[in-house]
Amino acid sequence: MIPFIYLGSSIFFPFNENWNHIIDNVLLDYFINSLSLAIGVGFLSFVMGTVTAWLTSVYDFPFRKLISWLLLMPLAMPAYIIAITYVGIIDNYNFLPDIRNLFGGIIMISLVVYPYVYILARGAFLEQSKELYENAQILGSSQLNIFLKISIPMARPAIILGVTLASMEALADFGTVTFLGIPTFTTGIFRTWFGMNDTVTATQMATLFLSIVFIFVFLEQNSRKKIKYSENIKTQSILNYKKTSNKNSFIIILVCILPLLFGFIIPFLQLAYWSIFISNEIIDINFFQTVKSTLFLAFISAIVISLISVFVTYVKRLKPKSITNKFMEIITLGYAIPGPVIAIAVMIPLSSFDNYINQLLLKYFNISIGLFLSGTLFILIFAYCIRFLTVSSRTIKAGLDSVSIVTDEAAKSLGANNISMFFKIHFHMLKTPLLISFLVVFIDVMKELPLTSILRPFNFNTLSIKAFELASDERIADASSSAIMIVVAGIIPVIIITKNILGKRNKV
Amino acid sequence: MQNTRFFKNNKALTAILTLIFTLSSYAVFSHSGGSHSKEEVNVYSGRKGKLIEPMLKDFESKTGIHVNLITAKSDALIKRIESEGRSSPSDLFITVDVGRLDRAKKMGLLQKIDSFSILKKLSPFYIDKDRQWVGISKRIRTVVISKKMKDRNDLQNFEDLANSQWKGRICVRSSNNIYNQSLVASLIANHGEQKAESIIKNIVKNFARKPSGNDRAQISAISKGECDIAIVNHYYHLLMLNSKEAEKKKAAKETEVLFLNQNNRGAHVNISGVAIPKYAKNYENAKQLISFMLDKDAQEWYAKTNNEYPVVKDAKVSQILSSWGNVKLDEAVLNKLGDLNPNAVKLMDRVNWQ
Repeated sequence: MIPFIYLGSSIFFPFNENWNHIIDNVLLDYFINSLSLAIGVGFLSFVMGTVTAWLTSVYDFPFRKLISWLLLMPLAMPAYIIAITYVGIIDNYNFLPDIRNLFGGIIMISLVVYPYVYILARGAFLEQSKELYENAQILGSSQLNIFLKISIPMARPAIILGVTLASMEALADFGTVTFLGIPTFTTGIFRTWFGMNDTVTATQMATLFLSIVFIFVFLEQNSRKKIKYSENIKTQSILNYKKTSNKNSFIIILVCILPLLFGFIIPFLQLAYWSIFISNEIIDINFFQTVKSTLFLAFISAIVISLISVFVTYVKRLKPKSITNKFMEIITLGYAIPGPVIAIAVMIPLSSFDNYINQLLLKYFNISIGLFLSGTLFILIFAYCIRFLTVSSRTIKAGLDSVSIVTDEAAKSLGANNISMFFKIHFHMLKTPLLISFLVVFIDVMKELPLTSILRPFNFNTLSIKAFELASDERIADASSSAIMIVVAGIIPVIIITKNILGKRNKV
Repeated sequence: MQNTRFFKNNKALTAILTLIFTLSSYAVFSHSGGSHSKEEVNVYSGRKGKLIEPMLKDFESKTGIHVNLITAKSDALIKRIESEGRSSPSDLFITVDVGRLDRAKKMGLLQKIDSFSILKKLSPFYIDKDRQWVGISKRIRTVVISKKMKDRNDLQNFEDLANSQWKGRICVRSSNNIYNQSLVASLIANHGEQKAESIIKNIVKNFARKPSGNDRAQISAISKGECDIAIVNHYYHLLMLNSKEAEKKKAAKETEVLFLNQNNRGAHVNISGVAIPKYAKNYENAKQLISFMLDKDAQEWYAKTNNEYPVVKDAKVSQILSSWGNVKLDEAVLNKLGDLNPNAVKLMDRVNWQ
């Protein structure tokens, strides 16, 4: 909470003359570009995510299993790396269209964030009942109609969650848009902070930006309140995969392979080529040390954040009306805040606290313990919590919502208290959302850059720092081994999770 | 039955959680930087790890002083030093831009580098007037031009780029880039804000395309025929010349570096430099490291590894740089670039250099 108070308090500082400059010259551009980016990425991820999710959860076709987990892989690809990779390819061939514009930015970011929509929509499609589907068929609905008029509306909460996450990621992006030359709100914040050396105006811009995002999210949630979702009927008869003709299989594979090809295979092959033939990077003991610290950090953070999310969402469910919940709403907007803004917002309060403690200790015991919060991994994990609680808590909330309140009341009337009720009922329902949350945070932390680079302790390197340092120094070829390792390390949890989600279906 | 099952589950879960918690909190808090037990020096570096680590290793083995390192963007590191305040473990701050050194100084984060052996090695242009920072290497921001360009003799000074003769022929990256900001700041320092603005305004009109990509991309654009002139740091051309990628190498071979303003103030130069933060706990070790960085050998390595120019006179420049001959540099304004950076950014906003 403290970091948000810090950000919010910035509006009480006087507005200085830099605001006039910003409003006169650039604010409208920032606003239009950010908005177009958010809408563009949201829409494109929606299309790519739901179509692939639908095809892989309804039809049977060769390589379905393989394709359905490969479709998650682009998630492990940092957006700035994919942008740099494509520009590297395009620079070598004259006939390819230029992507250094808003349109290119939308495509680049969508290619790596559509898996949010895919994973959530697929989870929802798989749980839809067979009866509904069959009834629709009997009534003569075409496949397309079922998809558009039944499956999508029924999966609306999950899909909207995915699209929101995708748009938020696009809004917070810095590396990709800078590289492609798109001035957005985020680049504007840094330009004001770094270029004009004006932290106050930069924080005020961040607060303004956050308020706008908050209004959008709030409007969306209110619009949904009016619609009541009946509980999914948990039937034993989960849909069987529909057999398809050879020709249709071919078309389905083609459609599914498109996002995979552009979001993963092409950039991965290019990176592999660079890493093997061009790179001067030597893979030595240090490299493995870096891999180890990256995995360690991602693992710890993913566990901590997922557990906090469970706690927070569960408390929220028990006491939906309390004031703390309204604050939690704000906290879970962290995903839309640019990393460096979160970095200052956690750095300043935590190091003041450290300094205060140190002064006390010096005064009374004459010892100094250094920066025990802000100089250690603690601050980093704390900052990750703020950034990634959004992804995690919303995923878990979706899972928790699938248990109806009536069930809670029934359990209560049978004498269960809140804790026993959680472990007996909710925990079992949360296994899949917990795994998804773990996976997404794990991968996100692995590719996270600004927070890690600003807040890390001494001599602590991660793969994404290595990749970015080399890439931003225009040595993309040398950066390729680290980038590849991020992707490879991301594959392991992806396989575990998909096994789990697929397993459900295969048992039947 | 139900109750006992729940109890068991709960116990197991608690046990696992406690284990994870203890193990991880040990690991999480043990990464604390800057313990005071042994001889060490804590470095915050805005220069990439790869471009300094070998030298720091060398320093470690020669002096026995252990070096701890964090690399990040200079601006973020300045903020970190500021918010860490008195408890900041940072003993040495390295940046790749003189403006950032100046900013840290103005914020009162630095202290005087009090060592004759360091100061005597450098020309006064590369020492802050209050001795709060010193330069370590020089990089030149200039133009790379197509070898096929016929009217190259019309391009002598940076100011010439404003002529309509170059309409649609100039490529450059975004004005978010610090090197572009310093370049414009140097124009303001030399001409005053008004004149600088009219020059830049006309240069922007001559852009071949919307600014994007990095410096190398601008050089590639020449080879693709999108423009004739790219505004870049000199070493990117050399990096491409040494590239193993055929296309990049070809682009570098079709172009050449041209130094501007050689008959007047000299080409725009920037430095990477070092400073000692105010609350450094290992001041003497930090001075020793600076002194080491200014040794002839270290200077030659440091400059060569990024194709830059050393700041110490007796250090040799790399072979290819020496083949380019002596370059006259605009050293006099180095001390002013930091102050003028905000003005440069706003100027570029006004003339719509994205």
